[in-house]
Amino acid sequence: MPQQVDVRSYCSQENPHPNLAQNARLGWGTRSDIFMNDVRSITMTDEKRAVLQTPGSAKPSTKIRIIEDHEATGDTAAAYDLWRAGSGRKQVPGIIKCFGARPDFLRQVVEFSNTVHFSEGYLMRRHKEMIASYVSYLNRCPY
Amino acid sequence: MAAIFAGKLDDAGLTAAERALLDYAEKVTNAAPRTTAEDVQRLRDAGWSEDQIAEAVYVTAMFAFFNRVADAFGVPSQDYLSTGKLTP
Repeated sequence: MPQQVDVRSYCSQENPHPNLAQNARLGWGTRSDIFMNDVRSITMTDEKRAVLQTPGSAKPSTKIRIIEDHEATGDTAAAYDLWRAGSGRKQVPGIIKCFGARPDFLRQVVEFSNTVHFSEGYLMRRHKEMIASYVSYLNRCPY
Repeated sequence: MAAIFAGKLDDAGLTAAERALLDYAEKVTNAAPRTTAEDVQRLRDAGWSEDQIAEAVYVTAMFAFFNRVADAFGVPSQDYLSTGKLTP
């Protein structure tokens, strides 16, 4: 007889939920349904429990979920491709993927960076890099 | 640049003008409402133009934005710096 388990205890940051494909296969709906607490409790079967407890099963490495390169589809994939084309790099960095939820905004963010930071303006690139490095240091410090 | 990213401005081999610029960026980052006309005059005296000062504020504020997004999501802040060559 399956046992009722509060799903929230399985979806904490410490013990995150498995990936979307697994959710779909197990009939759980979407990951966000679970995260948003739309599903207050689910019926746990041995199979579901095994998935949740499998070591290394798609454990999100970020606090807010980001869309990884391999799972990006539609406009998000297109925006990632645009970034790759512009940068000449294969891997989209984490900070860019933070904007994957709004690919239209992602494009603007990239354009904004290119205009303000990754360009020679009145300041030399070198001086912009200095400011960026120092401000990033300051923002890491609690004040 | 590594010394700057570690906050060690004294070890970064900065010119006086560069140091003034970073001191100003620090005040904008930590206490923008408390910046004064005198702070800006210090930059002019160090040789920075009005347009350069304006741009320094844009870059400082832009990084406040990226640092906060990175920290809230939980990706390394330095990710952004490593993206470097976005322009051809």
